[in-house]
Amino acid sequence: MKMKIPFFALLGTTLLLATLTVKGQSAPNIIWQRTATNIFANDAVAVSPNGQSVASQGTNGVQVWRVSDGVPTHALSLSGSSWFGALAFSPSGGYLVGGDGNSNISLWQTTNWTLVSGMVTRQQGPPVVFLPDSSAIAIGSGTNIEIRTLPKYGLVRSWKAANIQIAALAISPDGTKLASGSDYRNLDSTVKIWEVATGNLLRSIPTAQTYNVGCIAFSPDGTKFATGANS
Amino acid sequence: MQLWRTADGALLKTFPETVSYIAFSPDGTTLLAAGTNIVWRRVSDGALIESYEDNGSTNHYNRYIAFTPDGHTFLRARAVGEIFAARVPVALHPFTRNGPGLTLHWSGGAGTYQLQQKTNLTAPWQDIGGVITNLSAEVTNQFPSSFYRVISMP
Repeated sequence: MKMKIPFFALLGTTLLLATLTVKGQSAPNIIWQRTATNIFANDAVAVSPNGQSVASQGTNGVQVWRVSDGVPTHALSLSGSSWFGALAFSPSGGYLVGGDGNSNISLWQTTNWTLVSGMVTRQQGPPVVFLPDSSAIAIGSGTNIEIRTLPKYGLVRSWKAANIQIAALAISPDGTKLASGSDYRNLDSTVKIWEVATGNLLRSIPTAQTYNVGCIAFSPDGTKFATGANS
Repeated sequence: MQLWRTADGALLKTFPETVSYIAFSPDGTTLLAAGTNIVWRRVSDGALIESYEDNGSTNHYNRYIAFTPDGHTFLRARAVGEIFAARVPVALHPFTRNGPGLTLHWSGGAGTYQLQQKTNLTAPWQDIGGVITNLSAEVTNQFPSSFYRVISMP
């Protein structure tokens, strides 16, 4: 194992950003580590906007932990529990939403961590993102992206975005654009950029991925986005 | 993994890592990707900051990652309920000229940092000033050479 020690080197007037590689252990500087114990091969994670709570896969539903020290604070049980393809806190911090392997969306309110409502989508592990004003979510539901208001999932807009299902969703920080990746079975390696207000396709970009785009993230200022996949 | 410009969809960078999740640090200066390795890159030029093996040889299961809003901590979750919180590593960014001196820039979120210096590579590191919470520092350029590093304090 090698450890890289980055440093600034100023040699005369030549300015370098250098990395010195020495022998050592390169490992994350762990603050705490826990195991919720489950059998699932997926484990979504989300941090609350106030930075105090982190939600991840529990033994039977969602486990909420305290960020500072990893103390388990709330177990949010679900009947027929499964893995989560997505977990997200609303930007306001008032809601936690999960999309699970039984194709369900579940919505909890964070004031008392109770389950508010649920809905069934048309795909397993549906990706879910909040609109910036926390009033609605965008979800992947089979072939379509849907915009639904909370807490009752009123349908605002739905449009076809994939041939089988939506593998990944990300929303631009200003809430005007959605980026989607489609299911690997479709062998669709494009990332598609949509206008949230209309559902119009703004751009379809071929990526270097072999099968599909499995994850997408916008930069905080919205000027860039990153795409990737497991294969 | 690839990095794109939103305005026109232009490809900015292509990286070799295969990943199951991507997150930008809250300050937007670094990119964290999780796959068989946890890989940190500087957004400005795509440079590798750090790469940690994450058990490691298999992509059998997905990993997910998230930052705390203050940029101090990242969380990694993966199969069978394994989750950890870890300190975001310090990343150095290109420094800027500041009159006769220089301003050093780094990222690593809310935290405490110690700037250190040496004038040749075999000399021991010396603290410059005390522990600070800034993410930049002004230094004077010392001939013929000078080295600086930033340590994240517990």
